[in-house]
Amino acid sequence: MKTGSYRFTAPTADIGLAVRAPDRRGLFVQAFRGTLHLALGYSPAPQIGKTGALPVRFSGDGYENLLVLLLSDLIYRLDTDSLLPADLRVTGLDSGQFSGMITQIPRVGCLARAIKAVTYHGLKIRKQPAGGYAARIIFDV
Amino acid sequence: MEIRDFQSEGPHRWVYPRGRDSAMTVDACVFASEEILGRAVADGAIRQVLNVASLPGVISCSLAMPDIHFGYGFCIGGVAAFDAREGIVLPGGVGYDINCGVRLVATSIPAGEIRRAMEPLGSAVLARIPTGVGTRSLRSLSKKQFERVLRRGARMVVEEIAGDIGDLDFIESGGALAFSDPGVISPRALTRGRGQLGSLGAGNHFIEFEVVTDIFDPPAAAAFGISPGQVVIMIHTGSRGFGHQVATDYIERIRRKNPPVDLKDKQLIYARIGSPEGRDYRAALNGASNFAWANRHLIMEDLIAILESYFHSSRGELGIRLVYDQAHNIAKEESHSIGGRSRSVLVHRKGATRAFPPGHPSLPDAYRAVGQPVIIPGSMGEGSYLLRGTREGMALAFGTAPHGAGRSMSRKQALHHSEGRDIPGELDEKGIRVLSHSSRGIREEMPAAYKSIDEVVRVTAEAGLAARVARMKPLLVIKG
Repeated sequence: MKTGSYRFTAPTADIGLAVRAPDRRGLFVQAFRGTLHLALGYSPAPQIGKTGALPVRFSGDGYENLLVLLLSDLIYRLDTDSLLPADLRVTGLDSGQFSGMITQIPRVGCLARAIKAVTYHGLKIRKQPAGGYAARIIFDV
Repeated sequence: MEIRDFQSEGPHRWVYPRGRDSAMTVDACVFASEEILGRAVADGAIRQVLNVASLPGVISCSLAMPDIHFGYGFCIGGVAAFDAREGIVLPGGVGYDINCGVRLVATSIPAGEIRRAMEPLGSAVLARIPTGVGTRSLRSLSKKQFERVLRRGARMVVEEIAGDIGDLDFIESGGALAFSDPGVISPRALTRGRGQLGSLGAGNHFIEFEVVTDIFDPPAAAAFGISPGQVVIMIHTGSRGFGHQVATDYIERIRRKNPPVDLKDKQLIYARIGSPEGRDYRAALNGASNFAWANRHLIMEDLIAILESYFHSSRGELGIRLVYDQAHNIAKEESHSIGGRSRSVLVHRKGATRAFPPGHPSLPDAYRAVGQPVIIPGSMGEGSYLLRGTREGMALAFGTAPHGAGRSMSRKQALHHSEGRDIPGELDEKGIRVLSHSSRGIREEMPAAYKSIDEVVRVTAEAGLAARVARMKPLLVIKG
């Protein structure tokens, strides 16, 4: 596991994302990419047409809270921003603070899926016995 | 947990006694057939009903309707009430799509006319009413106008954009809840909402032209103005990104104030109704509810304009009349008889619909003798029902009925099952035309992804929650 991964899961009405990565920073990046993939229907290519870089920063009371804040911010930007958030670089992370840089590219086409929200339902970032971290995130769609 | 852990206490009424789980303060009561109950046990929804029965101050029992399925924190089809002064309010008991709901509009347009016009009418709807993911309103509202939407709901649309003032009597709560305060709503929510009024959205939202095929209760149907062969229109949507953002914001604010350390599910965070967070959430919730009523009203007015233009006739000549509009995801203060006395309670309905009985003072005069219309849409291949509220349902379930068929298949499963199939073509063979900007959306909403609406309504009627009035079959479906 070099950079981590994500895959979609399927609770009855909603859609989940199972994420894993070698470290927590990587987990946040994979969760960001998985959410983007869910909304767009594809993985954007941030290296092509990079237009802007947007710093983001959140304060919270734990890693799960910070992850929800990050993904909620992404859902808001997907709904409102004129540029498309395309990737994330984490610049700082502890249990109370998150900071990162979002790569933005021009929007092409429409979103494939409306994501209403990221939920706390069953959300837990777990350290894996074999190394690395994993989380399962459920979205209301 | 298994079905045998439940006690059968009436037709399709299953009780899980509080004594079986030390955390529960009230019983859990599920209205379901044995098959529906078994499925709800398996998918984890029943565990969610029990978790709600463990919340502080929950009154009477934690309820679930026959369309129960797994939600997040609070199941879809869940109902819970708390004291309106000293109780709690929980955003998870409402959901993210605040006041997602449905409205039914009657017409006198012959079904044959609609069948002949399905393609141009559907195209006109798609052109005029923003549908699909991320669509924006074609209208631009000033900040002041938008604040009036949040305070006045459907009344603002009628008074400032289009509509008939008499229609407000046929919307639950008159299309507006009091004590809405735009000042407690975040700039992010306001930004999203201002661009979305009058838009359908995506997912399971739809506009459907239907024909009435069966009448089960002629007096009630006559009171609702429904007759066999009549074309009716159903609109299903909610508060769009505005409501989603309000819910997201307040879940965060409330959980920071009241960390969910003792909760079985973090999505069940709550605030005391009298606390600053509880008061503000309710003021924001009411604003989002009002937005949703305004949204459905504006969509209806746009549909009427399309029909007037196409048929070169006025709304009066086309027999267009709002039958009723009801909320599916909401928390409202209501008066109920509990333990022999009347109490003011905050009833949370998440994927459930109010179903008040004959004689209830909140009903319009025209419906008071028969009870509230209860609109239960099924999948786009099956059709929908119109029911009416009953006294038994008032006593058993705070006057509540199901909100739909309820999913039986996840969206991912639906995509898998529809792979290589022409779902619109299959529906076309049944005389149902489906139009959408999203083929994926049609596949995710395929008829087999939902429970049988006939089964859900049969259980609802036999359990006494509501009584059947009419059944409708889809003709033209515009999916978000």
